[in-house]
Amino acid sequence: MFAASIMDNLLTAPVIAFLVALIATLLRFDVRLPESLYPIISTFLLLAIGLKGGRALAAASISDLWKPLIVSIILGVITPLVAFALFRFAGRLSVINASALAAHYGSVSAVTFTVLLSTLEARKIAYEGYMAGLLAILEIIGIVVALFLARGATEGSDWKSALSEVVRGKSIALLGIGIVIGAVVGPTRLAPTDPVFVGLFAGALTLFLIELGVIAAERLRDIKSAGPLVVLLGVIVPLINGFLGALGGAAVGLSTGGVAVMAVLAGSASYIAAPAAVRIALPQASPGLYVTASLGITFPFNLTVGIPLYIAMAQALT
Amino acid sequence: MNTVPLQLVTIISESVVEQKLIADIKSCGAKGYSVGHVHGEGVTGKHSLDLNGPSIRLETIVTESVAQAILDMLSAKYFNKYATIAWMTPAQVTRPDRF
Repeated sequence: MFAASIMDNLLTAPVIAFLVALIATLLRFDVRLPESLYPIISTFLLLAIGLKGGRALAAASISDLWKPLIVSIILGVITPLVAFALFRFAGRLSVINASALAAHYGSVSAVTFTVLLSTLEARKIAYEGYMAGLLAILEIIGIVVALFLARGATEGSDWKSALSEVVRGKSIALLGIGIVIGAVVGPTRLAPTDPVFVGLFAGALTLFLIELGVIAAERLRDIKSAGPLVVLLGVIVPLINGFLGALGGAAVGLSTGGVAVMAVLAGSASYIAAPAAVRIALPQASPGLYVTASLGITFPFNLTVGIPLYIAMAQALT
Repeated sequence: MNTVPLQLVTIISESVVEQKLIADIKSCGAKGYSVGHVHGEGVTGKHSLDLNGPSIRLETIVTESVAQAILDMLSAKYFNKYATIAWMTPAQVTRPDRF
């Protein structure tokens, strides 16, 4: 049954696009899309996710929202601590590298989140639509907590620009304005924009995952320098955090889809906002380590095995 | 045409530091700059962090003393932390009051 669910999840255009691009790049085919496409598609996807969340937010009431909000704040604090402890003590990394990894695993991969939403929609599993708002919150808290962990080990770190990079940076800003526009305009009046933001969504996501497949393949070549412990933890940390997320979601009575979303929010690792913030705040940390772990290991793992597993956890818990 | 000798300072660095770098060269006295996105390879390997876009090449025309101040600032704040190189080239410009 779980094997069937993995196959179901694998056979979607975005996931297959990712795997094919990854394998083709490993075989040294030049599948890279034009460089200028990447910022355009990521802009589009973040706005579309925000609009979708904002539209649902317009229909939700405060009483629906406060419990999931508190759970995501708690998860935002716990997930980087779990990642830090494992990378520092089980992975024997330095405080700075463990904090850099904690920033990635404490924040959220918007693409994993988006692939989960399309999987849930394809499998007709309902979820709370406002959860894109929680993504923005978890992303910020996760990075702040992780940078705080590194505080003792660094001198003269550039906290101010790192924090402003997270909060005002492109990913949170675009998501945020999408949510505001969606919430103010509301579902009915948003309908004319649906051909662009809803209709083109799956196609744009597929293009984006081709690009991510290429980048992940380039990162996989660095895997040897990261070491086997980091590879192992790149799978274990998301599983533990995903499980904690599912428990939290179930505890506040979210639907099956909502619990799966909470698991992905907690279990995925960022590779857009977090690397930029970490590079500025902790320039001594090794990008070969944190980008390889989050993009080369955890992202492909979550995309193929993680998502069906989190859905199965959600089904068992609700 | 009458020209005046100034210095063209060129900096190649990581695109994540773009805003920080612009603020820093301005505080050294640069009045203007141009930034382009570039890719390439150096002693530290291929330019990293592909996800944040390629590396940047920042150019600014400044007086000799500002050029020295910028290179000193880079030595103190960038060379040891970020994949960065910089150099200055003599330039002949018209309208020197703009720099």
